[in-house]
Amino acid sequence: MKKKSLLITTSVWIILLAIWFLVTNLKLVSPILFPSPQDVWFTFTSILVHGYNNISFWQHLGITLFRLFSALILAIVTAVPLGLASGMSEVIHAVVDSVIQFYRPIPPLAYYTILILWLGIGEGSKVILLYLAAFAPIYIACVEGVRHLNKDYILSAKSLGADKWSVFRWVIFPGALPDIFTGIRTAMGVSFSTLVAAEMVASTSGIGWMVIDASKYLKSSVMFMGIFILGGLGLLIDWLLQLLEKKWIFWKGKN
Amino acid sequence: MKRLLKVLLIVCVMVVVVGLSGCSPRNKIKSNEIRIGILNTPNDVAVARNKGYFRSAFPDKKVSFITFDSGVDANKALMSGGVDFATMGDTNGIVALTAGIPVKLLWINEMCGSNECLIVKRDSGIKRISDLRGKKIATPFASTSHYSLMITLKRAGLENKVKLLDMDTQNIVAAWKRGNIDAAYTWQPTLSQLQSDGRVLTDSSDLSKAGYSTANITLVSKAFLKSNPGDVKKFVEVLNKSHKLRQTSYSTAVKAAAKQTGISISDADKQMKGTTWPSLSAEYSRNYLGNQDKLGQFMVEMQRAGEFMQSQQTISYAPTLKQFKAFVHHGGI
Repeated sequence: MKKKSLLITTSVWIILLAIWFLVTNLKLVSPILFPSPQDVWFTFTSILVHGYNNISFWQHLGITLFRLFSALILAIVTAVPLGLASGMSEVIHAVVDSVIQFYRPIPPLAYYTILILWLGIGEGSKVILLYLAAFAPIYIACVEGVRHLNKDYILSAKSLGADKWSVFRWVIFPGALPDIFTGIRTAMGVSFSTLVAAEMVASTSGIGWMVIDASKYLKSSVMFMGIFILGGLGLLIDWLLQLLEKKWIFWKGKN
Repeated sequence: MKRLLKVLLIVCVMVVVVGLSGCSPRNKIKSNEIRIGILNTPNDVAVARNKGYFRSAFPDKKVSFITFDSGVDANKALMSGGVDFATMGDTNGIVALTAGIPVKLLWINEMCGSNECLIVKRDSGIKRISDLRGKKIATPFASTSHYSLMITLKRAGLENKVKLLDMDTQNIVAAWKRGNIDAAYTWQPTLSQLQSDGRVLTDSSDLSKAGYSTANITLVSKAFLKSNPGDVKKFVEVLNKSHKLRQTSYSTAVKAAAKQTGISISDADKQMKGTTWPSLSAEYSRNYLGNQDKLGQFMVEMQRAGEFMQSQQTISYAPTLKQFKAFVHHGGI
């Protein structure tokens, strides 16, 4: 079954690539609407060699990853304890939950200018924008993870004489960990999709900025290239997270 | 298994075909509608709108206006067939020509002058352009201001010696107020928000004298031009009527422009005074667009701008004078 689905997925991509190649090489559409695969590849190799806007490709990639991961790590460090606490204590839940639920659905672009006013145009406002996007999914996953725990486990641990800390360390935390990990994966996706918005203002580096700058001059092949890199990067990071999940949380799905 | 692949193949082909047919700008000209992309500035289009010139020129057509923040978005709209006419900075016109968007240059709305300035913080200690070394300067990339800034820096030998930041106008104001930037090249109305604690180093009229003119221009889609040549001629007449009004009764024109763009009369006055509106005969004279035989001076400068943009690697090639000649539509004559 697994082999079959892999085959189908691969064929879909091969077919899409073939159609792309055919349609563009037969000149059925204008190259601004649809640059050919060779064009995109040529653009990619020339940017690898010469960089874009006097900055090397690896610097663009590096600054983008730096923004993404510093936001994600900051979100994990803050959202996980707060989420777990909020899941365990009614009081903490009452204090923080409504605030987080309030800001969660607001589109990041809506408050980005305010962030710039508060934090300036440096890396701070960009990282905080991504951080805010990543915070909510992790927080919610933690709350849900604690609340969905089988109460019998906690009660039996307590009846065996475990103190509060031991119950947390050996029952609640490991029990909630699968949910936390799903939350982190979601958070990665959300902050990744906010990346282009974050690099839209006052930056002159990053993969997202490259796509925006190229769009200003209608350089389609650069836009296509940037989009492929962003898509590939998203897949790669998610795959790495899944690997970690399999390794660390081997008990997921078992009771 | 094979059947499944076949089905997949058919689905993919269908998706792509449907998707592409949606992309192509053909057959999008509606005979009873004229769609005009505009900039929210007190220019000839604003005056004509407020005075109802469009309504009286096209009584049996629906004229709709779509406001764009910059020529960047206007170009995307032209490309996708979303508008028939669009006003933008001439640098975006060069992008449109280089990218092969099926459009022609129809009209110069206004020549930029003191309405676009390089401004620095008064307390920054920057007195001359050469003092800008190592400073942070913001401007909206791909705009006429961006071009003017790059030319200014090149002439001062400061290329790659300053930190450039790409911001749109409202973010420039925010960054200025916070003290994150030392200087900005931008246009009205943003400019007047910076002027209270700023000092103007140079403006686009200085550059114009040196042979680096910038302007807002209007492009028309080739498809519209082909199907409605009469309407294009009328469109030029409408804009020329605004230009005439400015000459005969400046205060009426300012009032109309202020009302249409929602700014105060004094702001509109300040912005309009900074620009020049060529008359119909001037448009097609040797100073501006030129005539069928000889390309005008402005077009020559536009071609030079294209070469500069190519040297900056912002466009892939610089169009030749011949290509610029083919780009102009001599609509009014």
